[in-house]
Amino acid sequence: MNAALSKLYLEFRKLKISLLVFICIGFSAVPFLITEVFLYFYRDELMGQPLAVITGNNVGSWSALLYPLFIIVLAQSIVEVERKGNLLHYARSYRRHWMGLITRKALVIFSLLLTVTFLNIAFHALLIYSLKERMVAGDVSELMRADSQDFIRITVALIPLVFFHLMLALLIQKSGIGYLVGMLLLVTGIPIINLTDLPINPYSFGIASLKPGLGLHSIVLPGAVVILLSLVVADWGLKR
Amino acid sequence: MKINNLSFGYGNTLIFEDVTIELAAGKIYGLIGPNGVGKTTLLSILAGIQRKYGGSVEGIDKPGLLLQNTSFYDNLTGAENLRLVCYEKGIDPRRVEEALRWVAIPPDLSVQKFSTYSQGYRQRLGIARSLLTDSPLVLLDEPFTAVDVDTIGALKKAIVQYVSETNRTIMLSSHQLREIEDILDLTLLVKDHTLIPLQTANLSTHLEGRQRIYVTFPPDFEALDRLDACPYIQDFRAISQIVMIQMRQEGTVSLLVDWLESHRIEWRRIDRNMPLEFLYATHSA
Repeated sequence: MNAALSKLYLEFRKLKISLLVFICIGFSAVPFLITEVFLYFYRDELMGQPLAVITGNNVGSWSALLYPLFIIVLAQSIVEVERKGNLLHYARSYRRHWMGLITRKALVIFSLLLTVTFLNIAFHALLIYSLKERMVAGDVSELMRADSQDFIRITVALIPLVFFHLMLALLIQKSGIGYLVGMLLLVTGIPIINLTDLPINPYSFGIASLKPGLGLHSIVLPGAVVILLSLVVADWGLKR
Repeated sequence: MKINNLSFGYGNTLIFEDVTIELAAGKIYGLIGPNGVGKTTLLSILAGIQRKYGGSVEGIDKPGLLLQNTSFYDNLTGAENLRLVCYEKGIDPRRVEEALRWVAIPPDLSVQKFSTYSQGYRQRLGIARSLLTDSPLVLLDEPFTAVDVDTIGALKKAIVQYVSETNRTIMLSSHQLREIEDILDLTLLVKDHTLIPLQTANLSTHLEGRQRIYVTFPPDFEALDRLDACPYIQDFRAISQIVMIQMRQEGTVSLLVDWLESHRIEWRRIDRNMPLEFLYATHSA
């Protein structure tokens, strides 16, 4: 148990704190500030409009784009520290199975994803607070509660994506190509889930988790398959 | 530890064919040969990195390994990097201190981030990592590359001490023949898709009471025919820039040196034992 915890601790320590802070702030405070600046210039047009339009768009942009993008950036950065010293190649001399390493890396990403989610909930509350006087807010606390639940739902729905993009990042030698493949799957996933209601692309599981008629329960099975396949394929690919 | 009928190739390029060799415990083996002949490939096969080969490898699993172009996690300290390897290999992490002692990395440096290490200390840490193994074999690929003379001396001392105290076997590859010749028990030349053991022990330095010495001249040495005039030389044979000299009965090394100096013939060093470089050149010619 001690060794497992020590390995997890060192998995975090491999990464530069400044890089993690930069990514987490870049994916929480920065979008919030951009939204606030944008809304400031449209403050007159927003007067009397329903607040749910703004908050719904905010949650929607996270589910469709920002969370998957955050996972792509984080997974690529986490694998980059292994590539830099050619350490994946070196580890083949003593590592016969890779499941442990992949799971530890997934835990690191998920814990940072959770951190960003809590930051988002806080910033989202600030957004609601800053607009509630000018817009038609209704029951603000109920709105905050519902949106917070949506953020948590998206976070849980994207766990399979953590494993999936980690697998891609580990197996694709050039990180630029890893980013490109991730972005392509992300962009193509949005119309597919919107048109077909088929939760097969893990990059659009966030959208699926909020979509009426689908929800979190609809991605349990495909999510489990994605996690399992990602682990098996990554293990096989790294062993080769 | 045994390699049986090992065969390997990259595509249509054959690297090894039917190589069989047994490695004894407590010995240091040197792997030499020109670039691209397969030294690193052989180490990769023994390390389990390269797994598609013909034949079999017995008694070797998860050996200690130093590979060229592999580094450490910049953000972890030297000691943390080694501890991580211990956790992953299932080795007691308390052995990290011992490994750091082998390669003379001071405790205050071991708690600093790897990114602050000099090239010499990076190489020392690499060797310390390779010594953290339960396997009877440690593989070192070019352990003395890009390090200064003092570091080479410290690393050679560590290697010899490690072998004598643990009875483990080390196989190292190197192009720095002068640096490794005094620590090797057996040299293996990689040539013609196989390993050729080079025996130095049975080469006498005396022949019929006359001394045989090896003089290394500068790389651009062109005055070989002038050695014919030396009264102390019975016979000589040059390979590369090293000349094997058979002295006359009355000849001594000091007389030869005096003669070379008086004739303004520049020389680099004189060996009584056959230099590995000479032996290598003999077999490569």
